[in-house]
Amino acid sequence: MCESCGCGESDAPLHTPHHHTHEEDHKHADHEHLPDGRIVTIRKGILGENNRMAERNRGFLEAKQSLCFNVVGSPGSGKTTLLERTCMELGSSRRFYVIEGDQQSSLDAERILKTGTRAIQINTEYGCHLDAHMVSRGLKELSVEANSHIFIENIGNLVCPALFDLGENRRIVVYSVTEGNDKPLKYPYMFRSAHLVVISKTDLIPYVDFDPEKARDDIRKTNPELKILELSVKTGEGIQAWYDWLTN
Amino acid sequence: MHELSIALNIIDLVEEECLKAGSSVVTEVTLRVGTLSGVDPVALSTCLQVASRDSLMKEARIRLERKPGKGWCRLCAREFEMEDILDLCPRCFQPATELRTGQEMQVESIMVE
Repeated sequence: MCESCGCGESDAPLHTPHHHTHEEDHKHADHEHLPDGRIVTIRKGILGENNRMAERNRGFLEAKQSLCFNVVGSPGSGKTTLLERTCMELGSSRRFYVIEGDQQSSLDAERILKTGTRAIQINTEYGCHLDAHMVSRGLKELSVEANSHIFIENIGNLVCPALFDLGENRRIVVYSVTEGNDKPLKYPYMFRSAHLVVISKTDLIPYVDFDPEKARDDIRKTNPELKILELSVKTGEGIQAWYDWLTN
Repeated sequence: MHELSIALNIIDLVEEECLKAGSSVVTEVTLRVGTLSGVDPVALSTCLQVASRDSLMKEARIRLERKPGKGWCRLCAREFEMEDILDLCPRCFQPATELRTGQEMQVESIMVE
């Protein structure tokens, strides 16, 4: 504590010089005395706690020489179905793990477990996104071995998960043709933050109002460097390109 | 509604810093939120009001500084101002290849008794 004015703590951050004079050279939070209080400079990121944990997750996975994918998208865009088929077809030659995030139920984890892949379910209850602490607990519970692929299926939501780094190496937006053409421009933060967009359910294009060329143009308006793949899990069309992207 | 998570993170951070400064009452909180951060300032203020009711910052005024964003256009090799995440380069009308500033979300300072 500052003995001259009675404020501060010795371990508080120092950023700029004091706004009042002290006789002794001592350390405490930067502050300014005003009639209704003193100002303490903080300058710390609001999501700092989450981002530190995300970095720890990334470090943990790097030490395991593993890759982690954060799969995001609207409810019903086909995230679980894509992971199910991927686990079924590649699961015997690769080591996969899946962390499933939903508000409630373990329906998605049960679907993945049926493919013989290790999976756990995280229920956020009132939360609209996963955070790095939840993923850290998930990784521990899965006892991830080296040289693995870890998929995190985030809560179905195109808004909130965009802001939360989970420690993934790549972020994938699954965007189905049944959602219509307006999603990239309505939810640009999510598309902007991704590395890959998978346009799913392409077998339904003849039956819905969806223009793939406009979709590609609008996705690139959010981020001109985004990689885009188009596929149908149901027919298998385009799925090989997804496997190639995943494993290269 | 990620603004509620963000509000809870702010309250935790502010309370920790308030106690570190030897006080138990925060009278003002200054936040800096970039225009490209994806945070709605109105929703954030509402969430802070509700979520801080039982906290050390329940009486605090909230000052929100909006920091304008800058994007990088690779084609023109120059930075340009961005108010919105979909703003285009004013020269070539192409989207930004990189966001340079405007995604910040931080607690700048607090005022304590």
